[in-house]
Amino acid sequence: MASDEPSIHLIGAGLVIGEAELLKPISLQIGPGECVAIVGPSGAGKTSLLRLMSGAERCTSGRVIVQGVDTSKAAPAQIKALRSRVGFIHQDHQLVPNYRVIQNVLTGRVGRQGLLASLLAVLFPSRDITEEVHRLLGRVGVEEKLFSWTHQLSGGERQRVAIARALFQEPQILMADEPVASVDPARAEALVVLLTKLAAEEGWALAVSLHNLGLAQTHFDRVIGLRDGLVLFDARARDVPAGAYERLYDLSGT
Amino acid sequence: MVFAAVLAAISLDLGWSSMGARSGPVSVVADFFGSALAPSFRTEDGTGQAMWPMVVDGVLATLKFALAAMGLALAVGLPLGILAAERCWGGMGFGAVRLVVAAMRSIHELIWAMVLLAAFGLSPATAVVAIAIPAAGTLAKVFGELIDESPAEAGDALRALGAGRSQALLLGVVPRAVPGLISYVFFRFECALRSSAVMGFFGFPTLGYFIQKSMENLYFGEVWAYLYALIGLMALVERWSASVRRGLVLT
Repeated sequence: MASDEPSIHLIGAGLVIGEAELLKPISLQIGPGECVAIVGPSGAGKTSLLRLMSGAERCTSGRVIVQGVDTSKAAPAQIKALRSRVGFIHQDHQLVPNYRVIQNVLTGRVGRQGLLASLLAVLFPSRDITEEVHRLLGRVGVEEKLFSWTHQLSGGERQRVAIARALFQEPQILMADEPVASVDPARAEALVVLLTKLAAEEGWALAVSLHNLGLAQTHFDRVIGLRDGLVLFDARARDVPAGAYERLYDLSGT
Repeated sequence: MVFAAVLAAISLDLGWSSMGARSGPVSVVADFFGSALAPSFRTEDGTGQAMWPMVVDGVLATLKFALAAMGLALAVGLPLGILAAERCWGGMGFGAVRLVVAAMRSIHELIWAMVLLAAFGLSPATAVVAIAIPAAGTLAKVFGELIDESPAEAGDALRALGAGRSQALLLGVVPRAVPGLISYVFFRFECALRSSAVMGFFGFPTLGYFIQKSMENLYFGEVWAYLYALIGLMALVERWSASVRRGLVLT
């Protein structure tokens, strides 16, 4: 794939589930290595947009092309293969609490392994793989937690483990759906900095949904504002039009 | 439930009169309980042999039958338990598995033992299989329910990383059911021990066999020696089980 081809390309992509129009037709591109923040109030369609872009959901109109795969036409096996190349970090509860940290990280490659191979890999890691996981945990700042029980970690530490799992997965794109919503503000900023730093090092295209507008503008190249399933603005972080945030969160009409 | 219980008691003609009229001489009952504080250390058949070798044999046999049965029950019950989980199936397949599982546990181990004795005779495998069938059935039922009650988010997160349905289930959901399952396995092992002792009544060399022999001869001191051994065994297993449960990570 040529490097100038977009990692994610939405062409009039909309999502209607039942009666609900979650996303009105949206067209946008995210290039390789680009860091994009998606902001907007709850229910604006941030999660739906990320699910479309990760192949979790098929658009009901238009097209979504991720890493050259047209998700509206792809067979289930192709979607599964695509998802193994796209990292995804959730708000919380994505790790198995009664696993040791290393085991949660080891599940990162499950999409590229068969059933038996993935079970063995998680239960009986080799010395080399253990070393590798230890290094990755060092990169996210929790290397001493390698053999800790996951349920004993703080919310911020769990998110770091989820990021380490994404590193272990070796994706080309990383998406994160409100990854800092469950941690306190100081730790939230540190997590966002970590995500963007790793994205730069790994060459990931990064798409992160956030509630905190300050974090979005300070740490990302580009900010997309969503409201009621509609893109209100899509601009370089420094070019976000004045008053845009007020319109995004405007509650006067409700 | 209480009303039904009272009706049942009346229809069974329960009451003090029914016990007094049909039991043997009161002295037998008095003898039996009188021996509780004086269990025999030597046999009462006149030879005066030491009791302990027979007590040890009975305890070990009881333990062996129970362990073998639990091993078999786990080997059959765990895979069945996963299949009995609604989450394991896209459609209704789990219903058929639950039917099989229900049949296994709705028949008591003593009845399984009678059926299997008729078919295979007094081989140790008969007792082991008889205990294992209902144990596997209950393990499967409990495991299946634990899996269905486990939170699914971690499994969904694995789907997002390209995991297949079975990978998400086995790596993301089933592990959360394991601590609860281990706890239940120990409880079930205590049940297997009790059943194993009772299997002696059919002639298997567990504690029940020795108790029955002594009882027939009215050697109540011997009976109490075996009963105390059984109580001691159960207490040990309960302590072991409690210490394992304390170490479990319940989340």
